[in-house]
Amino acid sequence: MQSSLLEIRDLTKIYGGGLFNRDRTVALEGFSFTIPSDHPRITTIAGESGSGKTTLANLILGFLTPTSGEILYKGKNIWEMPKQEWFTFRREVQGIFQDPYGTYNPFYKVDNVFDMVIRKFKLARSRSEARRITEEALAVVGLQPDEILGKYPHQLSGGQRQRIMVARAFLLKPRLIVADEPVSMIDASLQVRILNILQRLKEEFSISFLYITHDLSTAYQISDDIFILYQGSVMEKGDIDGVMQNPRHPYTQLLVSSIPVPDPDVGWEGDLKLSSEDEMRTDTTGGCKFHRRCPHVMEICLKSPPPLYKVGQNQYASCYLYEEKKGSGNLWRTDYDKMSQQGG
Amino acid sequence: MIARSTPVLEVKDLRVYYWTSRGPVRAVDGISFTVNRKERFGLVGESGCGKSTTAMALLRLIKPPGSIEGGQITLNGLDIIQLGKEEMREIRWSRISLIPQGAMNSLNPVMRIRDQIADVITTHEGVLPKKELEARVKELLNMVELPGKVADMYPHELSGGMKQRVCIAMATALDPQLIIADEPTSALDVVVQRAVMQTLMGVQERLESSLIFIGHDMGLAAQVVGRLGVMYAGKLVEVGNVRQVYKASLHPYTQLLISSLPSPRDKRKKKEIPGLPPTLLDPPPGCRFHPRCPQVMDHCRHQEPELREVQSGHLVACHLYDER
Repeated sequence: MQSSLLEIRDLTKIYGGGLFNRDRTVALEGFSFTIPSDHPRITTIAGESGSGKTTLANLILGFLTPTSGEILYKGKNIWEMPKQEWFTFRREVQGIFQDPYGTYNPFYKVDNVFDMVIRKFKLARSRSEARRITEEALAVVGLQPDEILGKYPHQLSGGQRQRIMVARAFLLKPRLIVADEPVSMIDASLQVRILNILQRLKEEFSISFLYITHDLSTAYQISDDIFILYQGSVMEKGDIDGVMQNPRHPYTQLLVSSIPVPDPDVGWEGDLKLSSEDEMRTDTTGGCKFHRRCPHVMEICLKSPPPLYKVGQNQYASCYLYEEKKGSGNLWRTDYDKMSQQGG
Repeated sequence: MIARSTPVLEVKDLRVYYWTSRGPVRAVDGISFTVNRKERFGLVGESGCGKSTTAMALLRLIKPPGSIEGGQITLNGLDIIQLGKEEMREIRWSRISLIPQGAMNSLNPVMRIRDQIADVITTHEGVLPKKELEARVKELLNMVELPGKVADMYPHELSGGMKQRVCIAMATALDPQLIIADEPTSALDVVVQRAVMQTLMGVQERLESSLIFIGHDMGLAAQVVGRLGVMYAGKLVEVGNVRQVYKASLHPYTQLLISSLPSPRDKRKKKEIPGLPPTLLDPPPGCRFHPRCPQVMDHCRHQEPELREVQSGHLVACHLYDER
C-alpha cells in the first residue's frame, strides 16, 4: 500500500543559528511535495541563486539532515530506515550534478566510475557481466563504449562526461534521479541531447526526475510540473504549461518576462530597474518574502506569509492578490489583467 | 542597409594560435568583420569556437603560448597589431575597454570601489584634484544605477549584479570608442542579468560608443545586438543583422544551433546537432563543419568555403550558396 514514491512533508532547513549564533539562514521553509509511484514525472524546482533549490536536492539525496520535516521514501522516513532499506534508497535515488568536470577523479580512467558502483552495489557477478551492463548503460545515453571506456576524463568533452554520469545513474536502475543543473555548463547544441535522454529515461524506463535549475526555458522543454522557489519558499507551483504561459505570482511573472527569448522579435518588455537593496539578499521576517520587490505589495503582505491559493486547474500561487474576497467574486482576475497589460 | 560609414573597428584575416607540444591550436583562424559606430555587434558560438580569444586579441591581451599570427586590427584608423607595448597600454581603457568574463571576480578584494574606479582614471589622466575625482566616481556610479555609498564599500559587500555594474563603470570611465563585453552576465540570475544588460546598453548609447557582445547565450544575444557573427571552430561562418541570422539563417550550423535552442515559447522537441566540434589541433580539411553537416557535399570535404556576402549585409561561408 504505497501511493507515493517520495513524499516530502513540511521540510525546513536552517543553516547556522545556534545558541550563540544569530546568523540564521533559512534555506528552505515548509516545503511539501509528492512524487507518485505509479507514473513517472519530471518535476522542475526552479529558482535563482539562494532560493534553496540545491539545499532541497541535497536533503532528498540524504546529504543533509533536515532541521524539521520529513522525507518519506516509499512511505518510510529516510532518516529512520534500517540499514538495508537505506542501502536500497541510496541505490534507487540517484544524483546528477552541475559540474561534469569536478565529479571525476582525473587520475582514474572513466571506467572507474562504473566499476565503483558495480562493486559497491554488487550489480555483476563477473567481469564480463560488468562490462556488458556498462556497455548497455552507455548505449542508453547514446555513447559508443569503445569511444569512452579506457579514456581519462580530460580526453572527453563536457557533454560526454555528463552523459557518462547519466549512464552511471542509469546502471543502478533508479526510480528517481535528482538532476541539479545538469546542463547549465554544457553548450546549447549538446544540452538538447542530454535533455532528450532524460525524457527518454522517463518514458521508456519509468524513471522520475527532479530537475533543479535556474533556467526556465529548458524546464519548459522537459518537465510536467514546476515549483518556483524564492528565498526558500514556494511562490508558485503547478502544471508547467500553466505556470509558464500564464504565470500568476508577481515573482514568476518577473522571472518569465526576464528570460531572454532567442527571437529578436520577442524583446524584453520595458525597462527593469532594481534598487541596490533588491539585489542584496534581504531576509524578511514575517510577511511575504517577495514583498520588497513586488510591484503590487499590499499592507497584508508585510504581516504574514501568504498561503498557496488555487489560481488554475492545477496551479497555485502564494500571493494575497488571489485571496477570494467575500462578495467580490473574481475581482482579482480583472486586477490581474490590468496589471499584466502594464507588463510584468 | 544604411550608408556604410567608416567602421570603428575593422578586423581582417585575424589569426591567433596557441602553440602546444603537439603543434599549433588554431583558435582563431582567419576571421574578418567590422563594427560600426554606435553599433552593438555580437560574436556568438559554443565553447572553444574562438570568440573569447578574438576579444583578447582585439585588446592585445593574448598571452604565451598564444600569439597573434597574422591579420589586421584597425581601430579608427589605428593599426592595433603594430602598436608598441606602451602605446597599447595607453589606448586600453581609454579607446577600447573590456568587461571580462566573470568580471565580478576581477575586482580587487582589499580596495574600496572608489579607489578602484579612481585608479583607472588617474593612470590615464594623471593626478586629478580630489574633488574632481570624487565627482567623476559618483557620476560613473550614478550612470550604472548604483547609489553613491557603494564608493565606500568593498567588493564582498556587493551582490554579483552590483559588482558587474562596477565593472561596467570602470570599463566606461574613460569614454572609450569600443567596449568589449565577454559574457558579461554569465553568472547572474535572469532578472539581474536583464537589469545589468539594460544598464550596459543604456550607458553604451549615452556614450555613443560601440559594443562587442561575446557570449554563448543565443537568447541574450537576440535581445542585445543589432548585428552578429556566428563562430564555429575558429572561423566566422555567418554574419548578418539579428533578424537575418535568427529568422533566415543560411549556414547549416547556424540553422541547427537556432533550432536547438530551448525557448519559453515553444515546447516542441528540439533538434540535436550530431557529432562534436573538432579539435583545433587538427581541424578537418575543407569546411570545418562538414563532418556534422546534414547537407554536406563532396567538395565540402576538401575545399574551404569563403565568407561571402550573398544578400545585402548577410555573409555566409558555405558551398551551398556558391554561384555556378
